[in-house]
Amino acid sequence: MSLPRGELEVVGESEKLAKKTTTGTSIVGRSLWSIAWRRLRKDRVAMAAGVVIILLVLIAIFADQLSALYGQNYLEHHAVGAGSLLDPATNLPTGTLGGISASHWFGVSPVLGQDIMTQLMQGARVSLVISGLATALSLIIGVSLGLIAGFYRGWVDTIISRVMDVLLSFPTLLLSLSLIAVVSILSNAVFVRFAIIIFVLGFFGWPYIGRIVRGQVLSLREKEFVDAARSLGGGSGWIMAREIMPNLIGPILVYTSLTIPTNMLGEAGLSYLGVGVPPPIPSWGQMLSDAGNYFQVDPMYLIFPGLVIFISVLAFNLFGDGLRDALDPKSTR
Amino acid sequence: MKIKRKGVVLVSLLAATAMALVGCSSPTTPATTSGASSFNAAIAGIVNPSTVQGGTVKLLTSTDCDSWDPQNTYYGWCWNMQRLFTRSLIGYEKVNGSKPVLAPDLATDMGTHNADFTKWTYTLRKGLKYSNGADITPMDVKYGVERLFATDIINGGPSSYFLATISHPADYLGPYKSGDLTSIVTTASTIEFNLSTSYSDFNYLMAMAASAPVPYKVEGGTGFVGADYGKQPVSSGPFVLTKYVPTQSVTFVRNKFWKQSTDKIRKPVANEIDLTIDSDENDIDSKLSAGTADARADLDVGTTLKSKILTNPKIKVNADNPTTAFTRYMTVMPSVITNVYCRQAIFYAANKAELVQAFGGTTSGVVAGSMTPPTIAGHSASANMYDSGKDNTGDIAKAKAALVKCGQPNGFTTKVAYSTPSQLAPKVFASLQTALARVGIKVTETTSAASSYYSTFIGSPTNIVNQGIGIALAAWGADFPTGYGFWNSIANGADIVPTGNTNYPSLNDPVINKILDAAPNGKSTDADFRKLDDQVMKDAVYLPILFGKSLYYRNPRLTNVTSDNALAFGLYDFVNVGTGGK
Repeated sequence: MSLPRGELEVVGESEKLAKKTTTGTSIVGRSLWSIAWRRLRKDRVAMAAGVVIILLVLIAIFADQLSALYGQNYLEHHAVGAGSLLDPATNLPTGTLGGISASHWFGVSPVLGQDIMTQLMQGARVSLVISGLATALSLIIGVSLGLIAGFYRGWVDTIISRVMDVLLSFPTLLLSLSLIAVVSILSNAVFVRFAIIIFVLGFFGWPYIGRIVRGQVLSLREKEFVDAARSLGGGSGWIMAREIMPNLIGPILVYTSLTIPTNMLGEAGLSYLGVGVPPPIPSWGQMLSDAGNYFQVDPMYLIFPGLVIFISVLAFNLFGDGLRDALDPKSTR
Repeated sequence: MKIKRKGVVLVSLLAATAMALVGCSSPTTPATTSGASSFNAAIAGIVNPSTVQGGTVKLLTSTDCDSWDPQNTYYGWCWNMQRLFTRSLIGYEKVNGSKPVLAPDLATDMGTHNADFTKWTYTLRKGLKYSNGADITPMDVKYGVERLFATDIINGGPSSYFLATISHPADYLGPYKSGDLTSIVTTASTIEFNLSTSYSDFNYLMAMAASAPVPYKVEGGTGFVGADYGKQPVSSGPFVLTKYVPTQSVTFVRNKFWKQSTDKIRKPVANEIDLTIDSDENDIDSKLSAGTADARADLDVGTTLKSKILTNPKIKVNADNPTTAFTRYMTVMPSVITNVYCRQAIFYAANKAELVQAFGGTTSGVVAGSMTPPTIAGHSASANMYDSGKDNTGDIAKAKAALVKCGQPNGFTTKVAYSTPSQLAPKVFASLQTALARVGIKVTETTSAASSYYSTFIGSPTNIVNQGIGIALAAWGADFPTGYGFWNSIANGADIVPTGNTNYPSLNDPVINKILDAAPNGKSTDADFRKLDDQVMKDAVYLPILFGKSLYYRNPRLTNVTSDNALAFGLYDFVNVGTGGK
């Protein structure tokens, strides 16, 4: 991202040196971050989305404590016996709207009568852990390889770019399905299932960020401050880390906030297709998939997980858009 | 018999002889009560009896048959459809109620056999014709049975029963490669089967579609390879398959060469039967409710229609919820959980009532106290060696006591196996996990694709030990309703094989083996099978969960509707169904 000179400074070491010598007394140059933060604060939609995201993270972290406060356990069944909340023949929740009551705010699931709200809280944890770690994996691979490709150009760039092209043209979903199926045969441990989902989502996501970073680096490496750093004797590694990298923070942040919801949907999709996290760990996609079997007779069971996924993904996307606007007001959507 | 159900495919292979000669000895009993439509009226009776001819019956199914070749199909509902267009020497005269009755079909009587049940002879009726006008001869019956030996081509049907009973050279590979089989002797009107073993249940094999006649060496056209016969099978029954578009539709019209005078079992009235394949369960449900389709041919109704049936008494009168001849159970592996008291702890702790819920609710099954399902000899409604408490939710005190006896008072850890993909199994697992956790038994899941689950996953005793599978989900229905047919493959110690084993716990108990070994000579009584069931429960390797039930819906306009409990888990017997001429 090339930044307009007049408004904000480009954070490079050599420029900082230059700035120190010219800093006046009355006019204090604002940093990129304080300017962006001011813009972001004015964007009400993005702020609201940010609040939702923080709430979601808090719910995920304190899922167990919140469940205890609310008085339900996501593993508890209310299917038979005295405390049954289901009709024994139809297998569906008794009462209105999927068994919504004072003790079960979102009702209970058909068949086993599990509390939906606590399941969704646990699901938030799964969703955020997987999408967060998968995004981190994409970023680590994508940023390093994008940086290398853009900086060194030539045959290095050719190889990395072709690899990205190949990965982008892969039928990722089909490959993920078969990969997970094969790994599941080898091991069914919960840890392995989480790891493989994170790997699949993260590994096939890196070329997207890789391409963006490469493009940025191609233009950044021609900038004067890079030339200056080089003429002062800076090595390639130093230039990449200290001169170019700081200028990539903006696009990386924006990209991160847009990749997390993509990976949330990816996780939900894989769980929906039955290759997600193993039961009894609740997952939004798995709940949605299960609810699909009862949508005509118990629509509330479909609506709650659907709403939660919708709200979370929307919040991340709106926040990402706001962040992009704040960091780069010239960009068009 | 394979049944297609959301979740579990039941496979039973290789049964042999049985106890009572129901088919040979019992006089033909007339169909029971019949009359107007009410809930469960078609289970043992005939709903809307009528002789009005004509009309088109419209059936729906979610999947195509595994094959329309009579020798190559193994799904219960496909065997039910075979009744439309194939006949065999013996058939089921009474398919509804709890006691199916065999009767001669192509044969003039129930056949004769020698004293040790190793030679069976049948005489064909006169005037039998195929849908192409050709005569049905004993050679054709022989040819049909010979096809079962061509296991390179005909590999989807119940061949194993025939391979295990009919004498044949070890290298016999069916009529395409090895020519005629000398152990089946035919004359102009008779056919004689020479068996390699005593088999008092042979008439049950002769009542399978697999022993239907196939025109001698003209089937399939070029080269007689046999593989394509299922696309255009020649009909020996009252209907003929005229148009078959795989995965879309099948049309049956009346076979003009079939004569009522030669058929004592079927009384068809409809002119045409259309089967449409519709993979959308909800669409099937809405067509059934709207009356634009008459019945579902393959499975229970979906969740939507089920809910309507159970909540609306006006719709409920057009539905049936028969108990059918299969048991869902869990195998508790003695090779992994070696102490019988530890196994008993699982038996006591399981929450059977909730497991029934997980399998679909009270319309999908009733809690089972022992393994033998209704309709099979040795069934007892009161047998319940491991009482799971007042509401069948488990007896925690007894489970804990068993754990103490086992020397593991704080419980233990093991793995539960089930096949994927499955809508039900994860819920069943969740239920079991929660129930066993109450006494400290911790279980984790281990899954396998349905294609390999029964063959190499729990069908391999070595794999069970290697993977440490302590508990495995399974279901079992006999291919024919006798005690031997039900038990031999899952309990006879002589039948344990390295892969494709159906005796998952490798049960090898002399008391059980003795009863099963005496059965092919007709020497095991109903009381023996009751004793067998008790002995199996004592060994604590099979934890019975439920006796299966199914929920079916019939269009009110259908006439002559009754359940087929003999072949198809209570699906309607479509061969006699009519529409009142419309």
